[in-house]
Parts: sequence; structure tokens; C-alpha cells
Amino acid sequence: MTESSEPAPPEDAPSARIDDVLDTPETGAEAAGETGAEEPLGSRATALDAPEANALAARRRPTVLVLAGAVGCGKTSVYAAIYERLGRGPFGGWMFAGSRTIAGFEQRCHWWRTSSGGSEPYMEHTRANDLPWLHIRLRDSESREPARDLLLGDFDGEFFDQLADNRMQPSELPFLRRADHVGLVIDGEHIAKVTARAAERQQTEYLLERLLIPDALAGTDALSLIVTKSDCLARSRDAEGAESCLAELNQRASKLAGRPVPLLRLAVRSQDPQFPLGHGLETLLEMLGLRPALQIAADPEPYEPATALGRFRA
Amino acid sequence: MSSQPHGVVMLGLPSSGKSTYLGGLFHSLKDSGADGLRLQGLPDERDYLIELEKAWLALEPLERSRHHGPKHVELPLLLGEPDDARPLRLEIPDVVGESYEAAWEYGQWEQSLQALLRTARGLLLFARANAVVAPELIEIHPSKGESSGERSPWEPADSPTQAKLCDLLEQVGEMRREAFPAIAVVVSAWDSVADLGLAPADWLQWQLPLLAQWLTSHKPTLTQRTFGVSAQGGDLENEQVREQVAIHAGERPVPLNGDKLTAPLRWLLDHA
Amino acid sequence: MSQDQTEVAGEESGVSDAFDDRIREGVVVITEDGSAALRATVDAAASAKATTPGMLSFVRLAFDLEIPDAERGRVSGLFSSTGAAVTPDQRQLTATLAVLTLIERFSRPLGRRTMQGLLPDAAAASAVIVLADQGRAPVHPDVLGFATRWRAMAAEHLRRGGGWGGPPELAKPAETPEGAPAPEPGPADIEALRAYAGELNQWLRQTSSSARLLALEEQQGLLWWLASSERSPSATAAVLGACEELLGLSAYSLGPPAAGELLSRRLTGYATEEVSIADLSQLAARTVPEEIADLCPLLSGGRPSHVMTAGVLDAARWLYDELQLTRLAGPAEGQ
Repeated sequence: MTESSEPAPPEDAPSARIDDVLDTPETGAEAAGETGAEEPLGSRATALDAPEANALAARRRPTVLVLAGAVGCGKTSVYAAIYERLGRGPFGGWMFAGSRTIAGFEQRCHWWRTSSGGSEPYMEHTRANDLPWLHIRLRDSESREPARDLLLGDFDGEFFDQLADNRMQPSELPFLRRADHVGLVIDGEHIAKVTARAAERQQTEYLLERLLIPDALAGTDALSLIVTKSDCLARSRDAEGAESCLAELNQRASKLAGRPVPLLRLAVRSQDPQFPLGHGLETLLEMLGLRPALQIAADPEPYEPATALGRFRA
Repeated sequence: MSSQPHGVVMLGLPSSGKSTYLGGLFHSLKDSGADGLRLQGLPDERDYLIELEKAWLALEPLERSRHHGPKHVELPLLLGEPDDARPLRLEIPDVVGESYEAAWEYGQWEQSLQALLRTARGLLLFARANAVVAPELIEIHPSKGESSGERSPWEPADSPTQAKLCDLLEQVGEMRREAFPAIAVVVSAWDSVADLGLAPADWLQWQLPLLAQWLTSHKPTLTQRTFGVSAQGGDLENEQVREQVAIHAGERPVPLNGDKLTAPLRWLLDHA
Repeated sequence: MSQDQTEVAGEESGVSDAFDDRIREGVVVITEDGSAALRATVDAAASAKATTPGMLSFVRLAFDLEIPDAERGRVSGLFSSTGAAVTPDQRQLTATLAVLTLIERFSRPLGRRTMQGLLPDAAAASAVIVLADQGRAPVHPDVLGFATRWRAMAAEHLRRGGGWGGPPELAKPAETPEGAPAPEPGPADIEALRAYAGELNQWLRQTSSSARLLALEEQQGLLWWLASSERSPSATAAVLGACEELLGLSAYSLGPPAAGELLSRRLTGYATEEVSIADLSQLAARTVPEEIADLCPLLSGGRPSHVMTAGVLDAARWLYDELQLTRLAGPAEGQ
């Protein structure tokens, strides 16, 4: 790491500097300019790590979306599809305004393309030590509003499996409370199959209950249900049973949350031509656009006026 | 004359036409000028420019530039009508495409190039019309027998053109804290797509939609325009075309909906 | 939910940390060490010598309003004084730290501060309230609740002349056994008597102080004002009149507590009406200190374009808050 020219912190400063949290790539590049060394401008990793995500948030408040669900349920595919779909033009009223992790999106979309050499679309499972944050900037197609930053949390499904079965606590996944939107992912392919439905349902309920523990999320408003591979539901031999299961899950979520929980259906990379690339993403982006931020408010301790004048009410 | 040169940086992947453009531009400015832009005199350092010009006049394909880092090129210009021209020192280094490829793959930038990009007052972003790598999704039905089914890991070098160009602009934005100069997008080898009857901006939206969105979304803080330019004047692989072009080697035809070689530069200088 | 899960939930759920909940506006991933470092930053900024212009800069940052580059640099430097590297281009983080600094200031005890000592915070609290009146949103909503609470507490704190209670009690001497001679007063007794004399003196000073008399006079004036009838040619004129009168009756630069309620009572007759913001601005326009002209669009004529009309009571609170801020940001008063 390049030496910083910042003055030494005072003796009683906390042992960790904010710089550890807010590592700014430009600082390294500017320092490199001073030393004459060849230094990378920014990370060529395929996603942002925590300090880089924080450095981005320090400039402009991003909307943070985390999709929570088991391994293989399609979380990464949703993120890849947003990028791949924008690669063909604006959609859903949004246009691509930039990304710090284009390489990350390209790496993920690679498995859907002929350049991968595969004969059918595929997506690599996210690993625990993969950098988690994908970044994309969107602007409304009419350019009426400023561009908005989205940080997409691409986490290993194993974290959520452990959360669901109580091997992990929500406090160990602090990104959950930071997220403005948490999409609990339900694997539509499993719901569609009678033999897999019960297990998928149970796992969803476990995860739901864990996510709705007080203080796990920024608020119950953060939660939505995201059904991936919803094209499978249309082909299901027991479509009615599948729909009934989803309705019950939605009801359960709404009851636990104390408010209606939205349920979105996606089929982002279907083999069925009725479901084009990115099917359902417009609704997801609309949801993110309508409420880009979820703030956690806390009132001060109540103040009891001490005088009659202070207690006066009209 | 101003003591500070006016810096314009050419950005583009390997073989996107930067050096060919520079050779043709040099000749155009030297010969008669156009768009109210011409050379005031020959630059002191001109061996590299003459080499580019020679290859351009001889209709020879340029060898891949072998120098490392940006090749310093400075042109003393006169800007404006003959009776009202003002002098201007244009610094327009020739940067090998591999520098930009490395920036995409590794995030590595030569210091000298970084310095130029940080202070540039205009960018020429090159995209070759007949060399666009587009993302191609695996067909819904099983492949037509070409694919072995064995997947290979992602190689950054194989990424689509629009991804690389957007990423380069993002990195330049980081260098300049989002304060971009005017950007002239130069769609080179425009002759190869002129028959489509599209305007360059429309071609960009069609072939490089991610880049087109990126540029549009940065308005109004970003000033940009798209040009279609053919430095060679046609497909020199085609003997007939080659012969036609050779007749007036010093003045290449402008393809349909295309622009003169000097047009992008003149526009940049007007919007600095 | 099974009992096991409830137990776990009970263990897991606790009071979330309000600081971490607020700092997330400027940060994505907050570690324990990172949180501690940012707390130190906020603490240092809140403990630095406060000036009215400096506090108003925090307010502007908290509402994402523009401040001069030099001032932004100064604030970044202040936030970096504990070793952090907060740069001027980190607008969101700077705004978040500004909000947290204000909340920290508004959470600290008033102590024995006089009006002079309270002025920077009073100006900041009023500025926060004024901007909220205009419909602007701060980077974090909590700052409004803290500003409102602080202003009410400070208004009462200044007027505490009426709350001193009775004189201090003199401790009874120890009882002498029957028949025994009364003991001669010793050094300890004399010291105790001296201390009591001091307490009594203090009580006399406080209860008969000018501050207390001032507070009582103010209350009297307010009561007469409320009791008198309102005669105005229009709702707009009534709003302006009520606000100026209330400000005129205030004994201190910081107006009385429950000012909003007092205005509501005074303007009861117009409660269901609306006023045009443009008309009110035109009627109320005056010269305001240049340093706060951007915060007071009604008074300075810079009408916020997104607000066209407002209910009489809302408009009155807004105008009063601007007048209040103008008074606080004006030349310092010796109170």
C-alpha cells in the first residue's frame, strides 16, 4: 500500500483509521503520481470491497439492494440480467449511466454468452470470499432526474442458508441493516416442482422469520419477495398448487411484517421465448426508483416542559 | 501564441484507427486545411508524423504502433478564417491501443498518459465501425454444433467493445473527478457502414448501445458528438476502391453521412 | 414462531445503535472500528468552538445546500482532525457527519449557558426548523426532532426565573440533652452558617434577578396579546402581524417556548384559510443578513418555487421561524 502523506493521528485516536473503512483509490493514484511509481488507478477486481463501496457512498448515497436466498436460487442472475439488458438499450424507463464494476458484470454475463463456449446459459455460484458489491448507475430515460447509484450485494447463498437455520445471526451480516431493499428470493423452479415445493417453502419461511427479527433490517419496508425462474411456474404440472404456495408465503410475510410485502416475479434468462431477457426487471427497477432510500429514524428522549408556558397548547 | 498547448487525447482500443487518423489529419491540415483549421507551419518534431503521413498516402496499412506510452505530437495550428485566424498549439499524442487494453484488463495506466488525460481539454474516442465485438447470448435452443459445451473462464480481452470503452471513460472520470472535457466519438472506417444510411449517432445507438446511453446520461454536464470518419476513404482491400482512392490520395472521399477528417477536431476546439 | 426462535429473537433483538443507524447514510459497510473512528470525528467536531457561521455551515451541509468551497474545505479539515481523510468531494459523508454533529450538539446539556453561549446552537436549531418548514429534507430526519427539542429546552432554560422554588433550608443543630448547657458554636458551626448565608444569597439573587422579572414580564405581555382581538385586512396580513408581534414580545433573542402554539391560538380565526407564499413573501420582504439570505426565502424574496400556498398556521410558523433565525443571526445581544 502506498504511504499516505496524511499527518499521523493523535495518540488517543481509535486504532483503526477511517481510512481503513474509506480507502479511496484516487489517493493511491495521486500518491503514485508523487512517487513516480506505476500504481493501479483502481481495483480491477470484479466487484467492490467494503472500503471501495464506502468510498462510493461517501460521495453519493447509493440505493443498496441485497438479494437474500439459497445457493442457486438466481440472485447473481438477476444482477447480471440488469446489466445485460441495458447492454441492448434503455428499458423500464432507465438508461445506463455508468458502473465502477463493468468487469464484474462482464464476468458474470460471460456464462450466458457464446464466448463462454457453453451450449446453454449457466451462472457460477458466488463464493464466500468473492468481493460482494456490484455497482451500477442509472438515469431515467428522459434525464429529468440526476443519475442514481445502485449497489447490488452479491453474497454467497451459504450465508443465507446459515442465517435461516440459525447458525448465523443477522448482526453478523450488517449489510442487511444497511440495505434499502432486501429481496428474499424464492426459487420459482422449486416451487413449480411438486417434489421440491415443500422444502423450498419451509426454507423460505425460516429465512423470512430470521429477516424479520427486530433490527435485522432497516425496517419491514425494506423487504420484498422475489420469485426467480417464474417461467417455470407457467410450465408447472401443478400451477395452481404453485400459485397457492406463493400466495400463502406472501400472506405469511405480510403478516409477520405487519404490512403488505410486495411479490415480484422474474424470469431473467429463460429458455422460453415468451419470457425475454430480463423479464420482470422493469418492476424491480421501478420499486427501487420509487423508494431509493430507507432511513432509520429515532426520536430523541421526550422532553417534559418545566413551565406552564412550555406546556401551553392552543 | 498561447504558452500552454491545447491538449486533445485520442482514446481507443488497438486497431481502432487512431494512428491512421493522425496521419490523414496531418496531411489535411498541412495541405490545404479545412473547417477553418490548418497548420501554421511544420512542427519541429515531425518525423513520426511524416512516417504516418507516408503510409497513409501510400495506402499502406499501418503496422501496429510499437512505441510505449504516448508518442508526443504537437501541431502549431491556425484556427479560424484566413483573415481572422488565431494561433493555437495542439498537443495530440498518439497513444498505442495496448495502453488502453491494459487499462481495461488491469487498471494500469502509464503515468504520462494519466497526466495527459487529467489535463486534456478534449477527448477523441475511437470505435472502429467494422470491428465491433458485440455480446452474443447463447441461443435458447441447443447450439448449432459449433460449441463443444465445454465452458471456458472469462477473459477480459474477449469482452464486448462497448464494455471496454465505457470502462475506460469511467476510469478517466475517476481521474478527473467526473469533470469531463468535450468528447468527440469518432466512428472510424465509416465507409464500411455508410451504405446503411444511418447517421453516426444512430449507428452508435444501434451498435454500441451501452456507450450511447453512457454518453446521453451524462448530459448536460458532458458535451459530446458522434462523427463518422473514414481516414482511408474506402476499403483498400478492394482493388477497384483502392485505385479510385489512389487517384486523389491526398484528399479522400467523405462517405455518406460521414464527416471530414478535421471535423471532430474542429468541433472539440470549438467546445473546449 | 417456535419458542426457540423467540428466545433467539429476544437475544438477537436489542436496541440498535442510533449512531450506526444514522451513519449508514454516508457509509455502506460499518465495522466496529470504523464506527468508533467516526464517533470520535463527530465528538471532536461537536466539541470544537462553535460559531454561528460555522454551525450554519453544518446545517447547510445537513440539507445538502451549497456552501463556498473554502468553507467546505474548512469543514472537511475539521472532520479530518482526528486522523480521518474526509475530503471535500465526499459530499454525502460530509453531510452525514454534519447531521451527526448537529445531533450531538443538540443532545448535550445546556449547563449554565446564557443567551450568548447558546447563540450558535440556537441559530443552528432555528435554521434546521426553517429549512424543514420549507419542505426541504435533511440527510437524516432525526436532526429535526433534536433541533425542535433543543430549541424548546433552551427557550425554557433562559426563562427559568420562575422556577427556583422556596428558600434553602437551614440545617437544625443537634439537640442538646435536657439540663446540659448549650454548646458554644465551633468552627464547623460557623462554616455551616457561612455556607447557608451563601445559599440564601444565591436564592435571593436568582429569584429577584432581572432574568426572572424579564421572564414574568414576557409572560404577561403574551397573555395580553393572546387575549386581545385580532384585526387584519387579510389572512396574509394577520400572519405577518402575529409573527412580528410575537417576536416583539419576546424578552430574548430566542423566542418563548411553544411559539408555534401561541401563534395558533392568536390566529385561530384564520385556521382554515390558506395564504399565497408569494404574497406573504412580498409583504414580509426585508433586508436580511447576507449570511442567511439563502435560508430565509420568505424574507429575502427568494421564494422556494415548489411551494405555492400554505395553510395559515403552517405559513405563520414558517415566517416566525425565519424571523427568529434573522434575529439570532443578527448582531449579538447581551443576554
